[in-house]
Amino acid sequence: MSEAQFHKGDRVRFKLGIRSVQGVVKEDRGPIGIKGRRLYLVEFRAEPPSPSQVELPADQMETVQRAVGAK
Amino acid sequence: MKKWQGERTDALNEIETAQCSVGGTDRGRRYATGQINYSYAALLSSHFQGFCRDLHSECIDHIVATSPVTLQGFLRVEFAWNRSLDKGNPHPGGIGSDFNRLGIQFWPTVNHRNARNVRRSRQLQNLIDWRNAIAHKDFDPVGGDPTLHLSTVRAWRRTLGALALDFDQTMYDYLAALLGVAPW
Repeated sequence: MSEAQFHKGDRVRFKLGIRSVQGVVKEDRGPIGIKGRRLYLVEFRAEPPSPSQVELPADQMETVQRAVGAK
Repeated sequence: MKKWQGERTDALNEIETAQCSVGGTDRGRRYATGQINYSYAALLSSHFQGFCRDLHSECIDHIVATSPVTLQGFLRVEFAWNRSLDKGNPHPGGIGSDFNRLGIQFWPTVNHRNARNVRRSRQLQNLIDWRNAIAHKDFDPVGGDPTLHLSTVRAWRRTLGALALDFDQTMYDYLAALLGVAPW
């Protein structure tokens, strides 16, 4: 079972098509992916600027910066 | 499925233990156990929603992983877009529409696996109706009588346990046929 690499409030970057998009981790969904890999629910703002969500594995995300006050 | 049989079962067992540990025979006990039965039903609905949502996410992860990396991000967004299981109760219609988007005819396939699932889906809807009645304190949609017996909640729990097994197996078979490999 994979350990958590990201936490709620972390700012992350990921690929959406050929774009690089920034978002915030909203939930650690746990080890529910392929072979128990951990998925994270990430909220991001696409255009138009309404919030969208996506569940991603850790290997498709990179940290932008740790949110201030995030636990 | 492991989570449903593990921590979700533990949480449900705890509330059942709490129900059984309320002492006395007077009206106070009946009120307390009645409230615990309401909580038990609401918790059961919540955990079943969590199970279905996790299963749906797991299926998306398997399907998306077979596509080129550049497509995976927005395929993930699209498969989970406006997902009923993220927002509302796990009613049969919402479960069906969410899983149907993965290319399966969900309820017909689940019902084909076991004819008893037709009745089980009606019992699931009955639980959801009760959950809403409890949340909104409006019992007219469930016949007007607010009495909810422990035996009823236990029956729902057995039903959802059976549905969870068949949901898991149905999606296992579907993904194995779709992707050509055993998913889990």
